[in-house]
Order: sequence, then C-alpha cells, then structure tokens
Amino acid sequence: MRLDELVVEDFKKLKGRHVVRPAALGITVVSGDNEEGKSTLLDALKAAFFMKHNTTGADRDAIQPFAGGETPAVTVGFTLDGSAYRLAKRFRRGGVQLETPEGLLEGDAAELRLASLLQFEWPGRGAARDTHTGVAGLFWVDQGTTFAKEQEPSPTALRGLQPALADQVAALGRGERAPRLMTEVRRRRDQHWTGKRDQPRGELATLEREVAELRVELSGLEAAEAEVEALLDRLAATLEKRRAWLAADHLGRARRAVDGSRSALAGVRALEEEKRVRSAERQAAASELRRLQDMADLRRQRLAAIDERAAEQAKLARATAENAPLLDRARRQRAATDAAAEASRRALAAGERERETVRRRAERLRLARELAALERLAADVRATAAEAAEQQARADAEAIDEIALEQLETMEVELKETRAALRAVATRLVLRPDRADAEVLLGLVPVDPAAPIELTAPATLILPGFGRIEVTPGGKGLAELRRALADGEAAFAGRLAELVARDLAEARRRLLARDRLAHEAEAARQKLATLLRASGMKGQAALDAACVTARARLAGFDDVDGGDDADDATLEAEREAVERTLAELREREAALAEERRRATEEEARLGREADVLAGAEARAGLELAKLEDQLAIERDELADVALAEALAAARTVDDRAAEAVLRVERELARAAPEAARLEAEQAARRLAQLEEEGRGLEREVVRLEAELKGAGGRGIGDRKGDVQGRLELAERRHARLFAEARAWRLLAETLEAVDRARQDALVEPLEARLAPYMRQLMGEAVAAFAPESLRLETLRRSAASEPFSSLSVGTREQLAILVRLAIGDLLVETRGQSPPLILDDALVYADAVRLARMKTILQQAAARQQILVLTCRKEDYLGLDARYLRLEDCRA
Amino acid sequence: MTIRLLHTADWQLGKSFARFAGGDLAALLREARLAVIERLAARATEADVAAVLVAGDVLDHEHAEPGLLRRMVHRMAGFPGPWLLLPGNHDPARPGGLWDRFAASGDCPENVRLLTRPEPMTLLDGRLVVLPAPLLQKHVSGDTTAWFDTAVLPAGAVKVGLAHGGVPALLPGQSESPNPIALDRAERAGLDYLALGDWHSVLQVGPRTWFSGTPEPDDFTRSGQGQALLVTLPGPGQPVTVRALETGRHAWQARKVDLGHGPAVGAIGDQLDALVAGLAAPGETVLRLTLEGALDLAGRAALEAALGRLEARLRHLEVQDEGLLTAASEADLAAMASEPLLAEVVAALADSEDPAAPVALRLLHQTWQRLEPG
Repeated sequence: MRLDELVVEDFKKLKGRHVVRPAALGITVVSGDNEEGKSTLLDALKAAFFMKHNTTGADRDAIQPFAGGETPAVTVGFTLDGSAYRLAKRFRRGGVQLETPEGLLEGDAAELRLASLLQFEWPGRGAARDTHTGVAGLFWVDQGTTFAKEQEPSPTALRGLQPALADQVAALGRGERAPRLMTEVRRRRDQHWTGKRDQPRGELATLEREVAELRVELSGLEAAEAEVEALLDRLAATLEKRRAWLAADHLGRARRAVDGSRSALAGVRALEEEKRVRSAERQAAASELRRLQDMADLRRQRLAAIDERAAEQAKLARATAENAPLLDRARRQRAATDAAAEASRRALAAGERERETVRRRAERLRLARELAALERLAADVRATAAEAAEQQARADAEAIDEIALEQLETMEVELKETRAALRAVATRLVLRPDRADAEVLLGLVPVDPAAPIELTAPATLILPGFGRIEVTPGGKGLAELRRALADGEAAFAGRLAELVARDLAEARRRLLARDRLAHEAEAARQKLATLLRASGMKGQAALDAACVTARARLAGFDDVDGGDDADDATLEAEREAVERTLAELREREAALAEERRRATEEEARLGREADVLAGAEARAGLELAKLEDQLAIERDELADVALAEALAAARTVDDRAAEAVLRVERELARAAPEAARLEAEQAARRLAQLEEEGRGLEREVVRLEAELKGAGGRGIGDRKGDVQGRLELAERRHARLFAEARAWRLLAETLEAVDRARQDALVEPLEARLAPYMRQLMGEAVAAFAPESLRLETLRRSAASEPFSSLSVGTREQLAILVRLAIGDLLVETRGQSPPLILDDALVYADAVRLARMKTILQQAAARQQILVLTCRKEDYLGLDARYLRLEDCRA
Repeated sequence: MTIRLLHTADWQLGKSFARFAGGDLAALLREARLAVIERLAARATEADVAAVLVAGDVLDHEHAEPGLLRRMVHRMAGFPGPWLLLPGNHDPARPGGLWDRFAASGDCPENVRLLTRPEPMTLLDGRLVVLPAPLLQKHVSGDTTAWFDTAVLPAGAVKVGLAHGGVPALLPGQSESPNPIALDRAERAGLDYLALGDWHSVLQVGPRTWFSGTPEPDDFTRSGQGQALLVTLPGPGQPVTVRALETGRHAWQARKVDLGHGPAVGAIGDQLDALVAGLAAPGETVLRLTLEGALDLAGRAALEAALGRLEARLRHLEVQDEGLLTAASEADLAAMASEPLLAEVVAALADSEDPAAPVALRLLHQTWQRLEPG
C-alpha cells in the first residue's frame, strides 16, 4: 500500500483543509510545532480507514473540529497492489465514497470493501480498535506508544502477516483442518490425562481404580476361598479322624474295662457291706452288754442314793425342830419394837404439827405488821400527792408568768423612754410670778406656778390677772412621740387588764406567789418520790396493790387459832419448846428404828434358816420318793435277778459277734479293696476321657462346619467368579482405553511438537530481516520473537538474554521500529508492498548515536518502503534524502 | 432287557463366564447351563431311560451359593427317574463338603442320587449295577476306577462305570484335570459301558467308553459340544449303542477371516456378511472372530463399522485383531498431505517406535475424516 495523498478537513485540531502528499517511496518528514496538528494527521488517516462514516457517540465526538461547526472529512488517495484508490469520507450519514478500479462504492459497500482491501475487521459497533486494524494498524503508530508492550502485532495483524511469513517457509502452512484437529486431539488427550500428561483422569482413572479395587476384592476372595479350602481339608481330616477313632472301638474297650473293674469292686463292696453288718451286729451286742452293765451299775447306785437321801431327810427334820422356838421369840421381839416405833411416830407427828402452828402464828404476826406499815405509807403518799397537786393547781391558776411579766416590764421601759423623749421636746414653761400666790390655771386646772410646766400639746394657761396664754409646743417629732406615748400607755393598760392586774408591781407580786406555790408543789412531789423510793414501790398504784396483796396473804392465816395477842418473844419461846420436844422424839425414834431393824433381821435370819431347812427337807423327801419310784419302775422292768441273767447272756453274744467281724476283715484284706477301687476309678476316668475325646471330635466337626458357614464358603465361588469376570472385563476395557489414551497423548504430543517446530520456522524470515538492522543499531545483539504472537520477547547480547520489558524506553522504541521495518521488508518481498510506516514524534528517547543510526536505517529501509515521519523537531531529521513538509504549508 | 441310559457330564452350573462379565451375556450363559437340564430331562423322558448319568462336574465349583442346587433339582423335575450325580474335580465329594451338606439339607429328592462313595449302586431290581468313581478331592494321582476291576457284582447284571478324569493314554495333557483313568478300564473291569466326564466334547475313547461332553457349549475351541449320549445296553456283554442327542442352545464358534492386504472398503463388509450367512443361528452364536491381513486407515475405519453391524446380529462377538495390521497407506497419506502440518505428523508417527503410534495414526485419520473441510 502506498499513501498518495491525505486531505484532512475540519478534523479535530485541524481547521480548514490540509493536504499532505508524501513521497511515493522514501521518507517524508512533516514537521510542525507542538499542538499544531501533526498527530491529527495520523488520527485522520486512521479514522478514514478504521472508522465508519456514520459512526456516532464518543468516537464521533472525538474527531469533531475543535473550532466547531463543520463536519470532519478525510480524503485518502492510495495505491494497493498497483491499483489506485481514493477514499473520501465525510463523517455523516451517506458520507463515504471509495473510488476503485472497478468503480465507485458508497455507504456500507465502500466500508466493507475497505476492510477487505486492508484486511482489517469492523467491530460490532464504533471504530475499529487496534486489535482490529490489521497490518496497517501495526505500521501507523501513535505518538509515544511505539515502545509499549501493547504494540505487539494484533490478531488481525498476525492474520495479515501469516501468508507473507508462510510464503517464506516452504509448505509451512498448517492447513485448513489442522487447527481444529489439534483442538479435538488435545480435547481427547485431556479427557484421559491430567495437565502434566502423566496421570490418568476421567474414565481411564476410573477404570484404573476399578481394576485395582477388583484386584483387591479378588485377592480377598481368593484368600477367603483358600481359608474355606483349608477349613474343608481340616473338616475332612477331622471326619476321617473321627471315623478311624470310632473304628478303633476305643470306647467299647474302655466300657468293658469299666464293667470288669466295677464287677471286682462290687465283690469288695459286698465284703465291705458284710463287714459293716457284722460290725454293726458286734456293736449292737456290745451295746446291749454295756446297756445291761449300765443298768446293773445304776441299780446299785440307786439303792445307795435312797439310803443317803433318807439319812439326810432325818437330819433336816431335827434341825427344823430346833429352829422353831427361836423363830417364835424373834417374831415377838420384832412385834414389840413395831408397836414402840408406831407410838414414837405418832408423838413426832404431833410435835411437827405444833411446830407448824407456832410458825404460822409468827408469820401471821409478821404479815400484820407489814400490812400496817404499808397502809401508813399509803396514807402518807396519798396526803403528799394531794398536797403537791393542790399547790401545783394553785400555781397553774395564776395567769401571770415570767413572759407576761417580761412583756409588761418591757412596755413600761418603752413608756418611760417615750415620756423622756417627749419631755425632751416639750415646751418648758417656767413661771416666775411676782407673787407668791399667783394662780395659774392650765386649762381649768390650777398648777403650781413655781414649778416648771412642760407642755407637749397646745394648752391654754390662764393667768388670772394676766389673762390667758395659749401655748402651742412645736418641738421636733412632738406629735409622733405624743402618739407613741398614747399608744404605749393604751397597750400597757390593755395588757394589765388582760392579766387582771392593777399595775406592774402587783404583777410582780403575783408572779412571786406563783413561783412559791410551784416550789411547794415540787417539794411535795419530791417527798412523795422519796417515800415511794424508800418503800421500794414503783408508784402509788403499786403501793396500793402491795397493800391488797398483804391483806390477802394475812387472810390466809385466819385459821390459826390463838396467839393474836402474842408477841415475838412468846412465839420464839413456844417455837424453841416445840423444837426441843421434836428433837427428843426423833432421837427416840432412831433408837426404836435400830432396835426394830435388829429384831427384824433376826426374825428374817431365823425365818430363812427355817425355810432352808424346810426346803431341803422337802427336796430330800422328793428325791427320796423319786429314787424309790425309779427303783420300783426299774425293778418292774427288770428284776434284779433277771438283770443278772441278761447280763451273762449278753456277754456271750458279744463274744460271738467279735469273732464274725474278725473273719470278714480277714476276707476283705485278701480282696484288696483300695486297689479294686483305684482300678475302677481309672477305668471310669479313661472311659470319660475317651468319651470327651469323642465329643471333642464331634465338637471339632461342628465347629469346623460352623466356621465354614461363617467363612462364607457357600457362594464364595460365585462371588469370586463374578469378581474375576468383572476384573477381566475391566482389565480388557482398561487395556483398550489405556492404549487409546496413550495414542491420543502421543498424537497430541506429536501434533504439538510438529506445530511448535513450524512456528519456530515461521519467525525465521522475520528474524533474518531484522538481524541486519539489529547489527547496525546494536552490534551483535539478536532479538527473539514469540512464534505465536510475533511479540519481541528477549534481546540476547554477549550470551546474556534480557527480557524485552526490562530494556530502556528508548531501546524498546527503537527495536519496535526495527521490527516494523523488518515486517515491511518481508511484506515488500512477499507481497510487493507494505503499508506506509508512519512514526509520530518517535525516537525522542534516542541518544544522538542511536538517533543517527536509526536515521541511517530508516534511509536504507526507505529504499523499499514509504515512511512518513511526523515530528516537531525537524532538525533531528535533517540530512535525510527525504521530502520535507511543514504542516502549516499543507493548509490549502 | 435292553437298558437305556442318558449319559451327560460337565454341567458346571454356576460357571461365571468371567470373560463376559459386566453385561447380560454371562448371566444368560449361566442360565443356559441350568436350562439345559430341562432339555436333558425331556430327552430322558422321551427315550425312556433307566437313569441319567452325570459323570462329574455338576457344579463349576464347590463353593456355589446354596440356592443353585435347589434350582438344579427344580430343573430336573421333568424326569422322575434316577439322576446319578458323580462328584468331579470341580465339585469333589469332600467329607463335610458340598455334597454332604446337600444330602443333609433335605433339599435332595430321592430320585437324585449322590454318588459320593465308591460303592456299587444297583438299579432295576439288580439288572443294572452302576460303579461310581467319585473324586473326593480336586486332584488325585491314582486311578479312581481301579476298584472296578475287583468289585464283586451280581451275575447277570449290566455293569456301567461312572467316572471323571482324563485318559492320558489318549489325551495327554489335554483333559481339564490330571485325574487319570485307564484307557482300557471298561475292558479290564468287564464293564458294559464306562461313562466319562471331564472332556467337554463328545468323544469315544474305546468300544465301550465315551466322554459325553458338556450339554451346553462353553468353549470356542472345541467342536462336539452341546450334546448328551443316549446309551442303549441290550444286555450284559452285548455291544453298546451310543447316539448323540443335541441339547445345547448356544453355538460357540471360532472363525478366522483373512482380509488380505488392502482390500477394497466394500469387500470388508461383504466378507463379514458371508461369515454370518454361514452360521446356523446367528442370534444364538457366540462368535470369536480372528482377523488377519493388513488394512490401511480407510479400510480400518470400514472394518470398524462392519464389525459394529456384525455384533448387532450375534449373541456375542469377540474380535481378536492382533494379527490385523493397520498402517497408513499412500492414499491415507495423500489425503492428509493436503494439510502440511498433518503430513508431518503422519510421517513422525509412521517413523515412531512407540507402540502407541499405529493407534495414534488411526485416531488421527479418524479425527481428520470426521472434521468437515471448511
């Protein structure tokens, strides 16, 4: 593509029409000041191609002329594949026309054709972004973005470059179905293998687990089957053992041995039984002999006892007879002492009563005295209380008290003070009559003419002979003082009237009388308190109650006769006499009691002796009678003669029985009973042991059968067969799937390896064209691309590899321009043309050396490519074989 | 005086058919082994035999689930006469084992006789004496029929031996069990007939000695399965007549097909169709198909499709294709070479020594074919 003409009208910063006609090949430098609109030229070019004429919204607003008013418009004349095109786009509805060799296109047809020509894509809405602008977008680099990471070829740019790159490598095209096939193969591989490709997943993993689980299950079943087999073998062996054991007839022989030993033992037991019988007979004979001997002995003892008891009874009868008179005498003695004691007790009781009488008399006397004292005290108390009450009542009846008196005295003082004040301001008249008898009348009242007259109110003096003198006092406050005096005197008089007193002196006298009465009342109360305190009474009422109590207690002695007139001495003499009598009586009573005790003891002793003698005699009599009765019974049973005969016969029987026992014992010794018993026991034990052995075998059979049942013997074969089958099937399925999975993995790996190798080969042409530029700029540095994105990834210098992103901004920008130049060269070679490379204020970060080298490189590339440099620093690009344009000169 | 017997063996009830586990087929084949008893009972009734002799391996193993013997008895109901069951190496009569438990269970009817002891059994009021040689364990080194030679038997009775084992003199190393039986036992013991079990096909091993084979086929490799023998004994010392009766349901067939080298895609299907046409009852056929030859990728794809169709017509199809080579042909390569990347991949796989490479190549081709151009 070659840019022939760019006409921009009213576009953003550019006001009016600007026409730029770059050199057909080589470098065109368009210079202008900052903000003059150089970048707007590039924006306008991009808008012409990549922004639809009828675009609205923010994209459309962004290109509106800053001056406003006009519709922005861009016209581009360009040559593509040798054909000339002219695109006229005014950004409004119906504002596009594309002149092509085939004719004029308008509207959407023009836009679609445009996209087809430049191999870019229209997005759904709005302007085409960098990702859609194809190869051309890669070559038209905005200001300050050349070095940016995002400046790697866009997908549409890559698609545009692919044919050119593929043309450089023989048969490197993937083919039409290869990408889809790779996707499918990867999908199938990933169905079977994990991300690292070494672990199965999905159905393959499930099958592997199933196989493993089935193997474990089969192993378990085989072990169980082996266990069952072993149990079956043991059962068979046990059954055989039981059969052989039964065939050997161990039990039969043992039972016969037991029978034989039991027979021998029966003979021994018969002898032992006979011995037992003979021994019993011998014991019976001996027992009978002993019984008869005992009977004879008892008969003799019985007779001796009877004789002894008879003698004892006689002796006791004699002792009883001797004791009887002594006992009678003792009883009489004791009766006498009883009578004396009774008399003494009665006398003592009379004395006690007498003493009580005397004591009560004395008590009654004491109570009467107490009552009299209480009554006197009560009378005193009542009189004192009455006195106190009376005096107090009189005192309380007096109306004048200290307060009232104090009020009167205060009022009198105030009156005096008022009068004095009045006098002080009174008009004092001193008359000096010439005559001694001069008469002076104040008003109508004569006054002493020699005495000064003090007037406090208008007055008329009549001086006979003289006439009348009217005097009007005029002292200061006279009227007030006069009113105050009148008021005070009225109040004083009123208060005296209330107190019924003639004057203050009487009031004072009455108050003194009142105080005296109160003092007397208080003295009476003190006396009353003293009386009560001395009597211990809490009050008059208590005193009255004590009197009542004393009277009642005294009334309790009304039954005491006599002595009403006795005094204390008489009563004390009576009491002493009674006490003496009582002491004598008690002494006598004690002596009588001792005497009676002794008599009673003697009587008791003799009584006991008589009882003992009587008891012993009775017992002796009873025993004697019993012995005689027993003897009679025994003799009735067996007379003395018969007893002697039986005794002799029993001795004979005993001798014979002893002989029989000896005979049996000798026979038993010959039969060896212990050995026979041991033999029988051994035979029985052997039989039991053999029976246990037989039962043990049976139990073992039962146990093994039960164990077999428990081990799941029945059906285990079926389960094993089932598991074997499932395992075999799972193994077959696994083997088949595994083979397929391996094949998918191999296929995917092979596809990827081949594809990767092809991708690597794909960037070789680009790297080959970049290499000379790189050497020119940086010496032996080599840049490496990512095959799939054609993104510069690393820069290798002196065997060290540096990531592109770590390079300086200036270096990145320079490399990015070199890559575009290399791509341009590739396109020129393979397609005969490349889009014009437009650099907007590029290389501003380059140092002088790099800038010079870059200019040389641009100059070299310009021999093949059209390069448009937009710059504000024209001087940086001086010296190039280039067309130089000033933006301001482009304004038409 | 003629006595007829039905000779069968190797029922192997409960056989798991492990190779078919996981689907319905194994269960169906197990059921077929029970169902054949009903057909045996019908044959026995039809032929009015004196007894049915089962020469061992009634069960596939001695640890069968308990209900199996009850189901077996139920299937025997069609023939009320004696069923003489001999324990074989698969179900030996161990003391306290399977047969003792069955005898004690009360489930065994009177007409089903368990021959667990090597003792003569008299039938038909003494006119027929059966000498059983039960196996008491899986393997014995001696000849269990040796006692037939010295057995004291009533004169005038037809003597029939019943045993289970191999005949080394005739079938060295080919029988299922190593329990040896003398080839001339019938002659030495003066038997009128020796009924043998263990060999799963009908096989006559002597003038009076036969293997009946299994009544329901269970093996691809043997012919003569699925039959029972109707044995006619005119009288003591008289020549015996033996006739095979068909009893089996399924046909187990093994076929080998050589597809040649690079056959036309259409020819592959034709060959398999011809194969099915040769089968008597495809729907009851369990077929093992061994494929040989060499196919290109297109032929392989055609074969897979044809096999799919074939499988649908059979009871079961087992394909053994280890002998069938699959390689990318020039045509395959040319077809994919239009895509440069695939051409390289095909070449890489073709040169690869990885055993998965041929399969990968085939998968590549299949996938490539499935992707529509454009």
